[in-house]
Order: sequence, then structure tokens, then C-alpha cells
Amino acid sequence: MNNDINHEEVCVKYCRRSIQLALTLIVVTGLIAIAQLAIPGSEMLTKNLMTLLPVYLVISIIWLFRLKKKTGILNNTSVFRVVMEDELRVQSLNRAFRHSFLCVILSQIPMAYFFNVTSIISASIIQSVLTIVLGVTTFLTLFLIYDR
Amino acid sequence: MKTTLNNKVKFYRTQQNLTQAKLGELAGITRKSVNAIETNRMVPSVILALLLANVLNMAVEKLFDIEYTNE
Repeated sequence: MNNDINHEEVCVKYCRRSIQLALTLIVVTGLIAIAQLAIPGSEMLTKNLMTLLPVYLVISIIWLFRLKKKTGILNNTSVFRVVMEDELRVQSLNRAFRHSFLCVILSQIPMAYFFNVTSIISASIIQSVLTIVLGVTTFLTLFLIYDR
Repeated sequence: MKTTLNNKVKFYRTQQNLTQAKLGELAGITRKSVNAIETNRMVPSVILALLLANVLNMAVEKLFDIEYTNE
């Protein structure tokens, strides 16, 4: 029994780690993209950072797979299903989605005002990227907070 | 009139010497969910409320009840 409980806790931890990893990746990629678009002369730096991104991605995925293998989650699909279909998780997902959607909609007002006032050339592209990054980041962050 | 959901899950769980993890295991949910229900952070669905009542071997209205307060 204790073994099962440990498996469940480990599975929850594993899922949270995966989401944290995805969140980091999205934030980093988004910031690089925004910097590339908004700051003139930053092409070289952002290009170098972009080349490091696949390395980080590969290392992270290997680490996650090793963690999965080490904890034996792969062999215990029933525990994995319980964690995935857990009611708190489903409720947290729905809440996080609703709130992040609201946040994205509301953020359009200051963003539109800011890009209207400033004279950035590719304002619409930056606003699109910013919206995507903000939406995904807010969603994942809120989900991690609600699903504690 | 304001309604609040009171639950006595913790009371009956401890009465039956069950841990949160064990109750979660018997009801098919995680320990986190049991904790969230007990601390009133989450309102369980009808199915889950019935499941918990079933596991604790009692009527669902004994486990959860509504309190009316005037505002």
C-alpha cells in the first residue's frame, strides 16, 4: 500500500516537474522572440541563445525520461490515470483556463494603448507574440498554483 | 441569503482511522483532492461526494450539509 502512495506522490511530482519545464521553455523562448523583435541590434545575442535552446530541451527531456524510468511510473498506468483524472486537477485546469483567458483579454487594452503610443515598427507582431506568451505562461502558472 | 457547504469528511475519516492517502486510494482520487475537500478549497462533484460517502459507509447528507446565513 505504501508503495502505491509513494507512486502517486511521485507521479504528481513528475507531472508538476514536466509543467514547470514547459513553463520555463515557453518563457525563455517568448522572451527571446520579443527581444529579437523589439530591441534593435539584438539579433546576434538572440541567435546565440536560440542555438542553446535545443541543447536545453534535449537535456530536459532526457532528465524527465530518466526520472520517469527511475520512479517506475511507466509501469504503473493505473496510478498515472488516477492522477490525470483527479477531480482537483480537472477543476484546477478549468479555473486556470478561465482566469488566463480573462487575463489575456484584459491585457489587450494596455498593450494596444502602449503600442499605439510608442512607435515600434513591428508592433502587431510583438503584440501577438506577447499575447501568446502571456496566455500560456498565465495558464501554466495558475494551474501550478491551483493544483497544489 | 448566502449558502456555504460544510463537510465533515475529516471528522469521519479520523473516526475510522483512515489517512488522507488511504481515503483517496479507496475513492480513486489523490491525497491532494482529499485535503482540498477537507479544507474547503474544493467542492466535490456529486459523484465524488457519493463515492466518499460510500467509502466512509454513511449517507452523503451526513458528510456534507448546507449552511444558510443571512447577509
